[in-house]
Amino acid sequence: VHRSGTASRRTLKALVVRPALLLPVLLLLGSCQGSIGNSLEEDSDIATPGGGPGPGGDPSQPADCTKTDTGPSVLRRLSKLEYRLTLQDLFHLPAPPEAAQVPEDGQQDGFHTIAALQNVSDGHLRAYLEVAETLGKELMADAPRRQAVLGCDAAQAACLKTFITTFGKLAYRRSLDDQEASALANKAVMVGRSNDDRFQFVVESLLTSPSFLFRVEIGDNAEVATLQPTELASRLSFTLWGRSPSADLIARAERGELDSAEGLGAAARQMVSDPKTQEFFQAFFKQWLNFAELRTPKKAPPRWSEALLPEMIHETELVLNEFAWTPGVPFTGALTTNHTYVTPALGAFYGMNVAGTGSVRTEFAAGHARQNTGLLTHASLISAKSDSDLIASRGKWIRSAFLCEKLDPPPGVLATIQADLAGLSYPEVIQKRNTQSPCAGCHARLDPIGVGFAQFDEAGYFDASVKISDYGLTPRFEGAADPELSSLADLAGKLSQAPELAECMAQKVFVYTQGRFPEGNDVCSVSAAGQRLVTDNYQFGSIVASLIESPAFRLRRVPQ
Amino acid sequence: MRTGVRLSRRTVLRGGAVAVALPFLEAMEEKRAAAAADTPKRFVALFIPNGTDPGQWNPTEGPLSAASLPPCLQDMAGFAVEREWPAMGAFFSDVTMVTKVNHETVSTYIHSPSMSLGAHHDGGTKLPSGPTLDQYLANHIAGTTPYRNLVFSNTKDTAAEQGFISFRDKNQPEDALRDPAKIFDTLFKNLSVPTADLDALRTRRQSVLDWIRDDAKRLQLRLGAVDKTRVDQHLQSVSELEKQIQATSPACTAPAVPAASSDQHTRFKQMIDLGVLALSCDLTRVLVLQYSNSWGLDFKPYNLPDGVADWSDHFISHKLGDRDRATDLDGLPSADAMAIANKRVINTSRFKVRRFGYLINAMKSVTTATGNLLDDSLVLYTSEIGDGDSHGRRDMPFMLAGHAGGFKTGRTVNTKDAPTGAFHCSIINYFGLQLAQYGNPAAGPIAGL
Repeated sequence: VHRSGTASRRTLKALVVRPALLLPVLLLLGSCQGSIGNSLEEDSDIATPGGGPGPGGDPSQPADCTKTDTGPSVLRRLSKLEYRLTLQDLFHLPAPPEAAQVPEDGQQDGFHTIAALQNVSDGHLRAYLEVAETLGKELMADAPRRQAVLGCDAAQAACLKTFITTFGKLAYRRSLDDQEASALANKAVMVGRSNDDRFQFVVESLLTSPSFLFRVEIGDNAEVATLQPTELASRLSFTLWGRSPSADLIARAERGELDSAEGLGAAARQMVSDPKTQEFFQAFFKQWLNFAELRTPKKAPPRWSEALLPEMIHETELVLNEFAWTPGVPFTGALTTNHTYVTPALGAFYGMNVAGTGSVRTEFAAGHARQNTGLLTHASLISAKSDSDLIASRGKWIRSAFLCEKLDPPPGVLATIQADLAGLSYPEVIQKRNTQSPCAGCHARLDPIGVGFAQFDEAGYFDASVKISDYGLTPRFEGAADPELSSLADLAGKLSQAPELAECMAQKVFVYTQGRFPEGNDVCSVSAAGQRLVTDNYQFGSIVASLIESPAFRLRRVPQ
Repeated sequence: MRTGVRLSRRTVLRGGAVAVALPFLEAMEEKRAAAAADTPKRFVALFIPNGTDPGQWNPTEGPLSAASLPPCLQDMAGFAVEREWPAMGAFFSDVTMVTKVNHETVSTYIHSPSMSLGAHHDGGTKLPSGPTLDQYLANHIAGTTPYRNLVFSNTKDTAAEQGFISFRDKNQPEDALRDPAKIFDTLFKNLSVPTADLDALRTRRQSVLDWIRDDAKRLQLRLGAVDKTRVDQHLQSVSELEKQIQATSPACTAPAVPAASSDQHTRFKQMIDLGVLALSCDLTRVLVLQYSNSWGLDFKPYNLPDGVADWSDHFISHKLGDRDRATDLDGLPSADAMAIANKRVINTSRFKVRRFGYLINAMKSVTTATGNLLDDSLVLYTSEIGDGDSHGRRDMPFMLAGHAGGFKTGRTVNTKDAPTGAFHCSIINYFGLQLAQYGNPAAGPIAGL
């Protein structure tokens, strides 16, 4: 099984609806022989990035987008971020609790939301219990907040049951039935060592149980189930805000307001414009573009210091926020913009004089190495995240992050070519891997992009003494209509116009919000969201709005 | 390090009776564990990344002797104190070298710590498609210990293939404790809580766990088979937490709180010490220790020769042959450069062997009712690759110590290209199982191991 660009495979399946893309697709498929493959792939049901169509459809058949269907999704545990954001709401806290005890979620392809990898281990449960004990205790000790969260006076006998009903509904994202609520109340009375402690016991019990920790979606019990209204409210809220639905949203769902496409769309639009969406997508950007943690370089360049790392991250956050959420501003501008936000120290690292305090909006002067390159030259993004060869890894980053191409070395290839490369100079190695099979299939797509960045070192410092011509490779963006590259600004411009970009971004948003890699008919929702992004002049919020409006958003395919 | 702890599982677990009926399968395990309770067996794995130089590491088949140790193993004849690590006498007689295991039978990618305890093909996902060795063994040897297994991982890397080396099954990464202070809090903090308070806390937490069980059972009635298994995992965790909550450990006195440190070696030594203490208190019988992810290990604080301090273990492992290598040798004549690059890998490999030595010595110095902790255990040294320079995984640097099931040490076994499944099958059978074969691809035990 050969994989080339995921987006292009998807496009191939959706050819019926996107005939215009036929030509680039075929070029892509033919160009990266041996990109990845293994004989046991069919044995695997981990949905890897760009994984097969899965049970949602026959792998050999293109998805039939006239049919409303969806790929299978396993029962999702709250991610650590979702857990923290939900607790913030439940307890009326000014910020999400740290919950440092809770283990970090593992990630695949950069995303920490992959449901298949999420479990409730004993370590998780231990942590959830400790966090609930602490939050319950703090709540009962804070009179005004207690009043607001409980909605009644704790001293009143009826308050416990009221609390179980209202708080329980928010925690479980459904109403507790009478038997459930009574059982919990009786238990709390039996176990509680004081009146306050009864409430704390309720908090601990609810916040460690599967009905809270898992996002239960049962719907109408069909194999491809249509979600119940409150389940849909939950999915909507987690998709946009990364947290449990508010009491208001649950109430709207119960009144049937989300039943129609218009009703759901209206609720979604309202929520997209709320800062909570931006907050949740801050994490998306970090996972998508891989800048949550930066490395200390092996050799620090001039004017570099450890203190710059958070400032670099902040620079990228500010640019992304501006281009993702300013109405009327296309997101593609983030790739080509000539301004950024730097502190005086980061400005100096970039070779500029920046006055002021904090991160200051700054334009690059004509002729500056970072002129008109937007995100592509942010130190947070081009600094080395691993020990990998910088030329290849930067090319790979561009192709995998923005074009959704998956380019991994074929198993065993490195061991077999090691002898061929021994003793060669770096330019000779580059020359060889760009011309010799099986390396060239991928490297000829990666290295000519990466070499354009060669003057930026592992820390993202621009070193004019490095000559791109020394690498024996001409910068080139294979696949573009005019692949010759005159500068990084040229690459930025061409990347911002790449036809694969929109659908790729839609795919990344799908993975982040739906907690799985697209399978089967998911390609239809992803493809539609990509087209919608283009139609809407790259308004970033259009992606998630389109995913929500897709009829498949109301469905869940039960995994088999 | 506390030594001389006399162990009795019954005293350790006094008051540990589980009041709530366990699901059928777990009840079966309890019974089996009870039968084996008189002779507890333990499994420990130590992962250090980037393999070695097999040519400088592999002894010839047969008995090990001080005179026959290859360059990478020469510290098995004893070594001096080294910053926080104490000196040690000869330990080659405690180790069996297992050479020429072919790990490419299961691991397709060049750097997958996630596969370092796996014998089930990764299918191109970089993750094992079945349980890792420690997890498979935990099912059989954990008994009623409070912690079915423990994983201490000295990296904050959360990539599934880098920061997770233990998997309960396909798609089930086991969480690791990544901070010595947190390990201490989890395992030993309660030892300083007054007994009456602790009893109250136990009762209270037990009631919460009962509620979780009730909720899970109600929920499962509404779920399909695959979803049910995920709630089952939650229930399994309830049972495990129950044991942890109910366990009392009178045989253990709380160790000192580990001093906060950002030095990876200091932290890892704290992890080893806390892990060995957990074994000696019978808090667990299955322990996995990960020194680093593939990229994070370096030797800066040590006075190692040939410029080892200036480069990461990963860079050094690549000698001259890859781009991510130590480039300070680039200007030298190639023979000179290669000589230094080879020496560096020998130095880093020796460092790794010394850390294995520290671990087995720490276990050896804990006496038990029947001898010492090492006698009851098998300790596996593992990595994600064999030849760090080529990323080759056909010649893995596996070492085994300990005598569980009568395992014999002080020798070298050439497995002649045996798949990892065969190697793991041999290990598993020393724990009282009689598997004809193990892994995917499955293979029978290695003759002579």
